[in-house]
Amino acid sequence: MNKKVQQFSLKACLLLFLTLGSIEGAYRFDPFGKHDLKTSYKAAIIDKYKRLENLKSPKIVLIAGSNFAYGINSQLIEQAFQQPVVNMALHYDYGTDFMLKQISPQLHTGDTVIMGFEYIVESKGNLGEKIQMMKYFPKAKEWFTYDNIFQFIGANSLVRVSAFKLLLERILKQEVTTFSVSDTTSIFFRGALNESGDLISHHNNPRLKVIPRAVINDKASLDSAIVDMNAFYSKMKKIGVKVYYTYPSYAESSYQFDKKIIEKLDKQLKKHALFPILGKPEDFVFVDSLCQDMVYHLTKNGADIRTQKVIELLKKNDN
Amino acid sequence: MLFNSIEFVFFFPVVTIIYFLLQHKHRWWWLLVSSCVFYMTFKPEYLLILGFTIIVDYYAGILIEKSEGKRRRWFLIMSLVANIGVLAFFKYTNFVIVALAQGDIAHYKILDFVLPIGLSFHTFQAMSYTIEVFRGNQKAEKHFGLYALYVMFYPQLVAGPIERPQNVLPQFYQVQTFDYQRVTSGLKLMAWGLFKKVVIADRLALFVNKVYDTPTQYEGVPIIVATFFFSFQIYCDFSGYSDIALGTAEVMGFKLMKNFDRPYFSKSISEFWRRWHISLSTWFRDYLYIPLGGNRVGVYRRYFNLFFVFTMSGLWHGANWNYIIWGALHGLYLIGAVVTQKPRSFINEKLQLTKFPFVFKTIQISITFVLVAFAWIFFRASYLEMSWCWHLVSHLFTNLPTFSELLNFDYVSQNVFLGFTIFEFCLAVGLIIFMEIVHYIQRDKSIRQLIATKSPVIRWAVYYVFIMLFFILGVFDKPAQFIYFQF
Repeated sequence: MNKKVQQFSLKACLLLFLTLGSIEGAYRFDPFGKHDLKTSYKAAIIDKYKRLENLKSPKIVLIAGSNFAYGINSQLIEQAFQQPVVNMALHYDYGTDFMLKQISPQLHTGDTVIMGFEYIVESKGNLGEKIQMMKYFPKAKEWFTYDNIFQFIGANSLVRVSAFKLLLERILKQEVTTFSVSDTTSIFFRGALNESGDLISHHNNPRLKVIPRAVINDKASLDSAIVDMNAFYSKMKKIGVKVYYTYPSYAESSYQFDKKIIEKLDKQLKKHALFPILGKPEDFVFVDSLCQDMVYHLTKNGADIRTQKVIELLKKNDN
Repeated sequence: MLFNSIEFVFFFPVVTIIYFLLQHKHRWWWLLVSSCVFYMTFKPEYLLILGFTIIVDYYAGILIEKSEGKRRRWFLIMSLVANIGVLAFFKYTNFVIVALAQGDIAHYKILDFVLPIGLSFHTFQAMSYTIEVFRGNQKAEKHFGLYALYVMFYPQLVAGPIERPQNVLPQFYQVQTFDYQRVTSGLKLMAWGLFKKVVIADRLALFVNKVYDTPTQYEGVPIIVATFFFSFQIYCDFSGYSDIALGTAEVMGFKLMKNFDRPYFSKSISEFWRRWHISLSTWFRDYLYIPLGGNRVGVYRRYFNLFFVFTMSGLWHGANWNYIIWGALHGLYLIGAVVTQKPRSFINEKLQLTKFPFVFKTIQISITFVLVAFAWIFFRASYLEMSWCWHLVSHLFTNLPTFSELLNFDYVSQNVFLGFTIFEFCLAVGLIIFMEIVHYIQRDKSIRQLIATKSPVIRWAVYYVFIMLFFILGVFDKPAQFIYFQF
């Protein structure tokens, strides 16, 4: 029996080594790795973080998901407050915990932080997204934790399998997508951002004629995100950093349907938030013609209008 | 714990290795503890409910065996009441409250709890034990641990097959050794089940969900395509689960009953039910249909029996009118088959269809599939408002395309491919065809045996390609729960 068990174990290990080894090998020695580092949207954290590190205080730091990436014109804020701005927004699904940990160490007395997290943001977000960012920017590993080892292994496995699929697709198609700010299709890539970190790649692109309806789940809750924001606010207050929250931009067509749930989320915010809140959700509801491709994403014009509103509310609050 | 979760990837080998390392006398408790851990990953406190029914049925079995006459019957009734009571409380209370409220739901309190996972499965399995003891087909199990393991054996705990005590309990007494052929055969079955779930079912779900999540936006072809895909999605999902369950048990040396036998090759609805969810349909046959008189009664009573049993089968799936309609529809199909038997034979004779067996068989299979697929609409739409469900049924054949529209790529892309690329659509269809080819080959000989006869190079190449295809074609965004877990 022992001989059979040994034989089985050996074969099983060999088969696992061959199959999983192929996937791990493709991940580690990805021939497109260098290309991805130059072009991946996730790799944009390298440039954003570099700016965050290099800006002297006082500075204004914007943090949120893609609604800030699309919907803020940092130049206008810079002109209005005569302070340098860095827009750290990339994607909501990194979660508030990760995003706030990302900026915390680089904040000093006199700095201002504007948070603009989406209604669907959660504290922990998607672990896989963070692991992918870690591939381009190893420092990102300092900004997240995981619930248990299975979650970490599972997320890592998914990242590797996705990378393997992408590699195969590229080999089969024999082409690698190129991106450019000047073309009319590209959106998410490393070079898609201006110096301040605002997304500009969509400025040339035609907007969607119909903005797809978003449906915020009835069970959506900002509770876990509020806990993170409160902790962040308390910590920052001690070192003299001002922290504000402003609502995400939202398309009018979807707002009509999601009004109830947004009101519920707003109540949560107002009830539990320790930090000052700029405006109300309706202030950031935009007609669909000012939206680019989804409810949270504004066009260039939309971004300018929204930024002006944020500036006005910020000035009003400071006075 | 889901069979397609990362936790199970670690759980299964650890449990199996320790199982083989332990002496036979210790294996039962190891499997019992492992099964408890497996179940507790869903909701630990529900283990108490399972514990309650296990204790009740264990003692009920012993008391039934010891007693005679009316007392014997009373102990059985007590056991059945306890089991059905737990099932009814957790599964049907809110359904009854909503039905009584007749729309005035604000004045009624809906109970806020999550249905214990797999409740219908292990309750039915427990009931089959006391019934079999009562009938004298099974001796009462004196070993409490082994009886608990009979109910809780983790491979079939949450979604079957719903086992019979005569099949499983004796196997716990047999000394299982590490049999290389059996272990690898079990692992291959598990791999095939996982492939059906992750690669086929979860891929088809992408198409199905698109239509069924917003049904009122669709008419005609998209509903037909989504329903066609759902028929295979649910098959791959559930039979995939059963394959993993059977494979897991086989690795450890246990043989569980077959739950599916190429159901979409059925030539009639009654044959379909001999091939689909076999453990449940035989349960209803043995413990409800036959006691009601089965076929050996008058015509109308027989119709009633069929209708009642299948409606109950629908209700077993969930406290929802859709499941009841789905079950009742199958009952009506079977009554229809009996009623139309003579005219159908007459037509077949006139058209001389029996002279062309292939054509005849193809027609029979096609009609059966269409009827089954139609009933799946109610099953899939179970969480939708009834008005949306009726929209699906009433718009099944509206807004059908003209011939020129069918040649228009934009039309086909939106209505047939449901907005997915031609590659994604062809892949989904190709996977269904692939699966049915595998089934076809398996009519005579198991593919596992077929592969085992090949040279090592070919075998390893097949294993490697199969595993890599699993990773390349699988849908891994997040482990999707098995459809039948909710029952």
